[in-house]
Amino acid sequence: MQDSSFNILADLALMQSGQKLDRSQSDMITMHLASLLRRENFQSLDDLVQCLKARPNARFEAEVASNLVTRKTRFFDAPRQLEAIINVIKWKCLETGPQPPLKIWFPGTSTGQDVYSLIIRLLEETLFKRASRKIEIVGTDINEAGLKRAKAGAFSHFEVQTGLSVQRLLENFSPLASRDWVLRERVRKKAKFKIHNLIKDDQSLGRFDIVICRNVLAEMAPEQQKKAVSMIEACLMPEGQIYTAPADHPILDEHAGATATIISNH
Amino acid sequence: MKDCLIINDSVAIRTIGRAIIESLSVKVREAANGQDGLSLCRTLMPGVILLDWHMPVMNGPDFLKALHHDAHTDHPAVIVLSEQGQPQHIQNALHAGANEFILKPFDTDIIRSKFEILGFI
Repeated sequence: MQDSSFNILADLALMQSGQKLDRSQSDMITMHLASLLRRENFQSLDDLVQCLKARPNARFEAEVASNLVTRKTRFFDAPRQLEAIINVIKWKCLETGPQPPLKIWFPGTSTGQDVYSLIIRLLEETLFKRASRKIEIVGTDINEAGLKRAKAGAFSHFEVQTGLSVQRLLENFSPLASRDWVLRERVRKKAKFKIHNLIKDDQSLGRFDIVICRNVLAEMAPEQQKKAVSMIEACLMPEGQIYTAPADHPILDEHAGATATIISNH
Repeated sequence: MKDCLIINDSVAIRTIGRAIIESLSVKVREAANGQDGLSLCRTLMPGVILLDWHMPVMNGPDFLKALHHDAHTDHPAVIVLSEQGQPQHIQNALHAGANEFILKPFDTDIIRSKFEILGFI
């Protein structure tokens, strides 16, 4: 890839998703854009960039940028933090008396494994049944292809064997003829997935009691990190909590107001 | 040092398995069937066993029976490695005493994840 092409892609990523690309990430860029290149019949990344320059198309630009941020996520990525969240949900949901729904948000959910890991634990604890309030879980991302996979709940042979015990696999998935495994309806129906851009969209998602934002902010440029953190804060209930990964914690600490509760662990 | 016993009649699987498991800083011993595996267990019980299901001489299910007959209290975690992914087959392996199950093909991430789930690493 030529330097000029890289610069254009880097500008595009910064504008669209806030992601800060480095020249050393050329291989990652090539890998993430490979299926777009094939679909659009481009010979190289330089060809793709030429087309972006010659015929600016907001939709295609957004698609290119969203493909660049694809994070690799896995089931039960942070098991100890998940248990801490389960305890908080128990505490917030097993009180008596009518209460508004408990709302949980996963920004940057990618293909949804984090959302489904929480749902699997909530089902194991029968919390959807026992809770005195409704529990609503939404995962958002800017990558449409990833969200489509999340909604379908179908995961590859490799994806279901990393992070999931075989007992959880049997309990929550059915095998498909393709050798993929699909989440059972009772798990899938508890999840909602929506397209949402942390640095561009409005705050229409509503306000959440718990936000779980792991490894989403660290790759962004500083100014965009600030925007994303204000978005998360604006979508947080007054007593809300933000759960994060060690890489994102200092960014949230720096930009969030003193009232936000930020909790990070593995 | 933590150690793993690979019981598999395929030299290729044992070689790939050894390379992956040694990369996780775990010592590896190999056996080509359940009978040889059982002898190695009787000499020194490994921390975890990666067990093939279909093998000549002594197969996976018979090995599990013999192992559980041998070691009443402190038997190692057993991961069955198989290319058959039907839920009924997986259930059978678990009922026979396996603790985990890996569906082939496998890679380093899968082995590491299963070791972590078992609390082995």
